[in-house]
Amino acid sequence: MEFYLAFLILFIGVWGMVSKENVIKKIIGLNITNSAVILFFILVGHHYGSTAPIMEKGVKDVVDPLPQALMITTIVIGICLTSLALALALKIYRKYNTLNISRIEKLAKDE
Amino acid sequence: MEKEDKSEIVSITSRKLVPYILLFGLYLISYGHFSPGGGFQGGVVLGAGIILLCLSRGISSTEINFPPRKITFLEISMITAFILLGIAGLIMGGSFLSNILPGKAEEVPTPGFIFLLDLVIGLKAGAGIILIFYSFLAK
Amino acid sequence: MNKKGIRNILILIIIMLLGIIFFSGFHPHYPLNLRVSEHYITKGEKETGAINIVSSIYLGYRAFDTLGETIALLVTVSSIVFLLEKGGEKYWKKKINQK
Repeated sequence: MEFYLAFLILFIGVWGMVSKENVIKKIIGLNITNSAVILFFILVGHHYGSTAPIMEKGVKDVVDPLPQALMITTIVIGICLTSLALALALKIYRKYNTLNISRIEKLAKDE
Repeated sequence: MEKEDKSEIVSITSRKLVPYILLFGLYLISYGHFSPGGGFQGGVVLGAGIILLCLSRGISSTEINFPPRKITFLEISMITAFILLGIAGLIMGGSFLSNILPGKAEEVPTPGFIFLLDLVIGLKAGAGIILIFYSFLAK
Repeated sequence: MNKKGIRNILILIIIMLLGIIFFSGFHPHYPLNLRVSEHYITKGEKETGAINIVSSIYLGYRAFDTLGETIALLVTVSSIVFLLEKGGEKYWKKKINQK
């Protein structure tokens, strides 16, 4: 059942990326999509009653460590993507003085 | 930041808090093989300490203590160190990035390979976060 | 109804179609292949020397992946510094014009 929640969050992020007009809100939608993918991968390796994968003495039932190790990479790439998108948004704002995507399109056509 | 905008409470509290944040970041880096934590997470905590200093004291006085040129040098030298550690594994007879140091898991600062890689990645990620923040705040 | 409302409804329909395509190929209780993870859990501590299995995968078994991720972070930082620095673009334009 939790898997469907992850898909719901994914499509909320896609909807925010497509339908919002503000550039910053589009970037927030990108971040929500990234978080949904991370949540889904953590859920795949999880089952109830198990502990974190730190093999001290007496620990036997642990969760799957492979998706967690992959998701560290995803978080880093998410940070890279968000900061680069914000830098481009700042550059756009300095040139056109607005963040509305349709107004930017109109201003770019007029040039 | 103007001098009249400064609040004494924010300035003093952040100045007292920053060394402990940096200490916690170094703890997360050096115990990454032993407990929850790791290189990248500890590096981000290190970066967050410097960002707190930037937000409370202003960027111009922070850049005197942590100049961007030195942080850029730190970042580039750390990625060079990562590649050199990988080539050292080749020289010692293993594969690329294979373990070159013998070590046991029970000793707290393990004389192992993972600790070295954690340190390199932590310092590199912290330097990257600080550089991104500097270039966003520059006028 | 104005133009914007029609556009929003179209976007919603397209996203619901995408969701139906995703859900049709998704089985939550599909038998997973866990042999790789079992090897990591049982032998990871001996082979890499780290108790934390996530750390031993991240920096022991798959350290080459970490090298690529580190290079991605370096490229991002240098591109942001190039985009947002004061004289960055002018410097490179001058350098290109000189050649």
